[in-house]
Amino acid sequence: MKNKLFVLILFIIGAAVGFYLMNSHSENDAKDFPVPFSHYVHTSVHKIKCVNCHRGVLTQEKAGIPNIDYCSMCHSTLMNPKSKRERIIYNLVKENKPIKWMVHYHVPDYVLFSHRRHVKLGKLPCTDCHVDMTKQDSPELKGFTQIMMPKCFNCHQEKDITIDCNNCHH
Amino acid sequence: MPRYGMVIDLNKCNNCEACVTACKLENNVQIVSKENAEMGRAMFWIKMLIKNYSGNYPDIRSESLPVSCMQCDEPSCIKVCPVRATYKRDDGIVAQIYPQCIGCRYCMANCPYTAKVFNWFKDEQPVENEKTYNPDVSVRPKGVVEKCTFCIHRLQKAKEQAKAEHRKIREEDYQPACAEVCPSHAIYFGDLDDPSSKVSKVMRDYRKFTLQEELGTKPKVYYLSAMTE
Ligand code: HEC
Ligand code: HEC
Ligand code: HEC
Ligand code: HEC
Ligand code: HEC
Repeated sequence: MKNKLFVLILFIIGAAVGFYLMNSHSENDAKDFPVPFSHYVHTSVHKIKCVNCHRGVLTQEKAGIPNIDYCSMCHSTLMNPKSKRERIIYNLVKENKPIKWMVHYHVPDYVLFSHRRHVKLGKLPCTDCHVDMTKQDSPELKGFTQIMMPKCFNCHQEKDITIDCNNCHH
Repeated sequence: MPRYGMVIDLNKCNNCEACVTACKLENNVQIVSKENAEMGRAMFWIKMLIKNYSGNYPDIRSESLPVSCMQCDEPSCIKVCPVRATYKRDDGIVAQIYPQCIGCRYCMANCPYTAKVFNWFKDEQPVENEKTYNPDVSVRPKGVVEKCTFCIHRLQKAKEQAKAEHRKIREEDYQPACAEVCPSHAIYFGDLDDPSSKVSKVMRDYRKFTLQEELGTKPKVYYLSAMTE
């Protein structure tokens, strides 16, 4: 009896610690990421279009991620001196140091995936495959799921696009 | 649906092996170390078989035969694959799906043209190679079978480009690397079923033959035999 109680208490403590750790992890300054980049601030608040930054989506395979030379267009001056997060990018722009982005979405190299094919020719919205980026306030994506073969397959079958293995696999 | 095929004019082929080199680079085919190559593990998607040299220098004539995957209409390799990693596409190209391949090599054993090669090891590649990798083609891992694909990634890209420009895919949009590079234009490539395509025109030649016709594999790589005096 005593033993069981002990285990229960341990479990509760463990759960509490776990919960605390989880919560602190999703705090806004995502520590593991190089820059606390916020899609929410740029796309929802300041209405910058996705293609302005991801310039490859209409023309090539890779969407492409902008780097420091692009950020410097706006961040060479401090817009909001109170914002700690903005100061990080402001300092980086001053140093002109390229950022090593950490990207979640990824397909193995044996898969040929083209953004142009899907976004420009297929006219698919980004949210068909990615989480709603306009709501993401940190580089750590909430509700992220990797794009796996079943997802490609399901949509292709629904829309009557070829599911010949060799079209995706090279 | 097109039916892609190739015609190689042996009269024009002068054994320069530009196709072999271009193919290796285009498709990231592994460069095998000397020791392994001597054990018969060299990897080529198209290889140059040299039969004979005749004449005296400098008037030499070589008899050679570039051999790639024959992209058979009745491929014997797909019949033995236990996991369907190799199959024939609707446009006639025989495909190989690397992550599906379990490396049993039945298909290699069943191919009368020895067109397929196996990744026995991952040998150290020359450092310069890193910069020449073609991003459209995967680097195959150890333990899978691979072969000529008629540069299928080029078809995929050409189709996309054609669609973006609202037109049909043209013959010159899709040419495999070997046909593109051949300096003596000995390699023709295109839709065999389209009577106006260049490849079907040159195919109507009495010199036409295929390798090991008697096996009934119906190759889609045709040869035009070299003239002899
Ligand atoms: C078109 C102009 C523009 C570009 C380009 C731009 N930003 Fe911003 N960025 C803004 C604006 C406007 C704000 C909001 C400033 C404020 O009022 O706090 C902002 C805010 C930020 C912040 C602070 C976020 C927060 O929560 O306060 C960071 C970090 C940031 N940007 C990073 C970047 C990075 C990294 C790039 C390059 C990929 C970039 N920005 C490119 C306009 C831009
Ligand atoms: C101000 C420029 C900017 C705009 C506008 C922008 N992005 Fe981004 N995006 C970035 C940067 C910078 C990253 C890299 C962030 C990181 O990894 O921390 C990124 C990353 C991404 C990623 C990959 C995330 C991952 O981790 O795999 C996706 C998907 C994405 N953006 C989609 C969108 C969509 C959809 C929109 C429009 C609603 C959009 N982006 C608008 C700059 C921008
Ligand atoms: C049909 C599904 C699909 C759609 C629609 C889609 N993406 Fe992607 N996206 C992917 C896949 C799959 C990857 C991983 C690609 C890779 O690893 O090469 C990816 C990767 C990315 C990346 C990070 C890596 C890179 O390619 O540079 C960004 C940024 C991105 N997408 C932005 C967008 C934006 C912006 C849109 C809308 C305009 C969009 N995507 C629409 C499937 C999609
Ligand atoms: C949300 C739906 C959707 C998802 C998810 C999706 N696709 Fe597609 N895909 C399409 C549509 C629509 C087209 C046709 C585009 C066009 O009109 O050209 C297409 C076309 C293609 C083509 C060209 C097919 C052809 O006819 O040659 C390839 C290759 C492809 N997709 C690969 C992928 C891969 C790889 C993935 C997964 C990483 C994927 N797709 C996920 C909708 C989707
Ligand atoms: C619409 C695009 C698409 C088509 C069609 C497709 N695949 Fe895939 N396949 C993918 C993507 C994307 C991945 C990588 C993501 C993953 O592992 O699921 C993948 C991965 C795989 C893997 C590796 C899975 C693993 O866990 O490592 C195998 C095996 C595979 N595919 C076999 C096939 C076969 C067999 C077919 C034909 C019936 C096929 N695929 C058709 C997109 C496709």
